[in-house]
Amino acid sequence: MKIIDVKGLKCPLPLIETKKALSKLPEDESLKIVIDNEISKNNVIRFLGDNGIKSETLKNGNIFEVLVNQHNVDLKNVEAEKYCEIDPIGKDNYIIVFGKDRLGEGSEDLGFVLAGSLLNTLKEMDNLPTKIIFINSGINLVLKGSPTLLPLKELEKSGVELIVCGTCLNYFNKIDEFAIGRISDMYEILESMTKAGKVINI
Amino acid sequence: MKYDLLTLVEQGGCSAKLSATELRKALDGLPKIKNKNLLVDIETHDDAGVFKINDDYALIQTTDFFPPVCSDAYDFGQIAAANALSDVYAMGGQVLTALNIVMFPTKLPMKILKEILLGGHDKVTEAGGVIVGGHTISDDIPKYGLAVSGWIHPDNIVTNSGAKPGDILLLTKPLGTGVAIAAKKVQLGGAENYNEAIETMKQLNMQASEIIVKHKVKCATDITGFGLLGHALKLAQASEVSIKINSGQLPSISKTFELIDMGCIPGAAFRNLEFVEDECFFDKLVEYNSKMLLVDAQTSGGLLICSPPEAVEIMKEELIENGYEQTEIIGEVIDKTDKSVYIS
Repeated sequence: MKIIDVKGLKCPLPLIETKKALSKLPEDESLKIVIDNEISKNNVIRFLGDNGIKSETLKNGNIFEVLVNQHNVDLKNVEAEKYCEIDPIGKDNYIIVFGKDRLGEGSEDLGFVLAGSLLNTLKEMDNLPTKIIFINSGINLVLKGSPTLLPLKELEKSGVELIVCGTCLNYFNKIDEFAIGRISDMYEILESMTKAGKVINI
Repeated sequence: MKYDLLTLVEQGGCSAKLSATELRKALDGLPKIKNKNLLVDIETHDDAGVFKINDDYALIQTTDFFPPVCSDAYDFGQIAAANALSDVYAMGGQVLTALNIVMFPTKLPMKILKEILLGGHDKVTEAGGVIVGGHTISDDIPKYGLAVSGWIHPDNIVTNSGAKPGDILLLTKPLGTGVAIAAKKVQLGGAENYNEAIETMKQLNMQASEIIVKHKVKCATDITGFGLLGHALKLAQASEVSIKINSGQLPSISKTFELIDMGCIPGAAFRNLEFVEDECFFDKLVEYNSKMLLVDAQTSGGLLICSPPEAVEIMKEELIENGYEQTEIIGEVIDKTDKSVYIS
């Protein structure tokens, strides 16, 4: 285990030292950061969490020990992935369009359940869409009381943009029940579809 | 002997603000003040209060003070004054008078205080105002600022509640002063980056204010301790609109990204992020470093202007010509929707 002692260092030096140590750390080695300042400790944990790195904290009197066991989130790889997504034909850059509120043909009730199941499964995927677009009866998935709000909220937190057709909300007179996402117009919807590497139509 | 004021403080400038989350706990439930002449009150978290005197004059009042943000006393005086005066400019007003607010340790030589006060005096003079007095108490850590009075015609007030969907957002100064000050404290970033930060913090928002008034802008705010996102959020909420910000267009002091990438992120940025994140949507392509720049606490930052689309290009040109060289179009105002601020 590599140990760095940042006791007595002024903010933001503890964070700078943590980042430096992480970038040099072999993948199978763990890191312990020893901090004596609660604010610096919180900032370091927040920074690790924001970058997808799990940590545990032990408190010993006024000393905090932050343990990082698994740090295989290589900050450089994160960036590389990002460049892939800007590539318009990259396979990672895809969007999902819900043109209706259910999955498949046949039973409507089953179709609605399956739509929820799709969103619940989607949030566990490594490769998330950049956007999900809701048009026509697809807007039912973003209305108050819909069981799909929970997975959609998590997807939105992970950076998936939810775009809802404003004309459709108006047509069905559901604007007051709109609960999540951003209302937009055909121009943006079309632009999103033309720019995406792949469009999955539901 | 030359004193380095930064060695005296843990937190400087607008980083020293109480966190907005905490402050709200104290302010919530305080009696609401109603007065027919109070044109801008504390409800919308605007930059300054505005009180109507008669049909042609309204009084703008504001105050700001903080511990040192830089090493040199004369610089500190100028920056603290420019920062306090900025609230008048964010309302579109002109400066009339100012009072010094001073806390100063008995153990430091009075020569330092003299330089701080001279810095303040010079900025108020540049602003066309006069310092008419002040108040001084002894305290371990020096603090300096002003209470400022300005005026504006009641019909021309620029508030943070007048944004309209379709408006284009202009930012007049580079971001990254919080990062630059933190870097200087731990001897990182080099002299050039620090000096850039000092120059931008010293710069008055006076000419920018004159330009927005000339173009009949109705909505603007200045960017200080809550960071660009904190102030954009307050503007969106006060105006009942949503805002889109393009993180690829943000002007910044030259080494800011390099410093943030090293982990040089002041604690105030994390506090600001906590305050805004529930109301913000970050596209997953937004880089972590850009996200932290968006919440970096600014001292004496620029104006965030909501410009009607037809005026934006000419206004940008005039701002650049008048010394706000890094002015950028950074986003737009859209209809109010689920979140207040969308960052892509």
